[in-house]
Amino acid sequence: MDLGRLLGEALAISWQGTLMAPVLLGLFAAGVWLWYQSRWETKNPNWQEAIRDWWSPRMQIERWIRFRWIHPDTLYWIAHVRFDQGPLVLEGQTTDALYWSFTYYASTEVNDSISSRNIVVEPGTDRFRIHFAQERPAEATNFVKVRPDAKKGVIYFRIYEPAHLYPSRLPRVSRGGRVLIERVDT
Amino acid sequence: MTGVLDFVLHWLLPRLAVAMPVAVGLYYVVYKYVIPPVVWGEYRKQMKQHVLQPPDTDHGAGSSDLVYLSMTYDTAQGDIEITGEVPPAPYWQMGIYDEYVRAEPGGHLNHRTTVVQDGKWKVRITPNAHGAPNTLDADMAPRGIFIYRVALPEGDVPTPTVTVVPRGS
Repeated sequence: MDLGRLLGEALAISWQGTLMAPVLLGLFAAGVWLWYQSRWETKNPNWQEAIRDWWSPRMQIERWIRFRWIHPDTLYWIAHVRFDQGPLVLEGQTTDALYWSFTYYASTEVNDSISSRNIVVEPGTDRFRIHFAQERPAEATNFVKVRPDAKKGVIYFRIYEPAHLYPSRLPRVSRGGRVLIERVDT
Repeated sequence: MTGVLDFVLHWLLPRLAVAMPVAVGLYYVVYKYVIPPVVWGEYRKQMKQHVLQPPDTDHGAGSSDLVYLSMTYDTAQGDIEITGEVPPAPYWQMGIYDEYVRAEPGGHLNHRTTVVQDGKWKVRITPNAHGAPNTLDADMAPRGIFIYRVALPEGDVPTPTVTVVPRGS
């Protein structure tokens, strides 16, 4: 093979490879997004925390969407759920912190929340149940109204100035009696 | 089959060997030089510079139990001084964030760490904080956003005032 032809082939490989680079990046980004979208309530649903689970690929994406502007005084736990498949029930125990609250996001909108100031616990216990639904169920003592257009999203549990960084008492999440995420102290 | 193998070995693989390092370089360029101005542009669309306002209801993943006031800041002309009254609330906090939406080390204060005098506080966003009280360290984020959060306020939250303190004054 003569040198000129070799050089020509090397040049062709170089410019064609360079043109492929943005395509590769685009394919990678699309793949990551599809992977992120496909994992709602499917693969090991669990609570994840903004700083503690920062290494998780899903949380790396969430950093740009829902963990923007977090404050280091606060623990930010989220659970990925669907709001378009029926009311969700959270069953948990009170948390030892200055203040804590639950809300939800389908995107980055400002939403209703319920907090340690107004959550009603079951008499004689430190346990509570919160319903996330479009309409308030008759049995609900604690209720967060979900927007009718909310589909995929997250339940967001903020703990402000926790007495102990860990463990956090994270509530069970269920829908229609089916447990999606088990209660855990982690 | 041989044709496919030949295509992969002699056409695709050499080009992928070039494309992959170029893609890594491209990713670096995008991360370093494209994302910050894009994020900054979004900040500027959503907030005013050196004027604290509530964010719009479609951004920021806010919560109804919190009052938010936010603005963009830029320390190019000088430090940013924010003066406010202690809000009627059990908990309040403030912080600065860079163009990668990251919380800045040394860039956060709250109701316990802010020094208050006569029911008022004065905080400075400065690249020369050196751990001084009531400063938000902007060394790594000379421009970005400032967010003031007040939890469970009982009544109106007074809006802090913002002034630019020129260098050397």
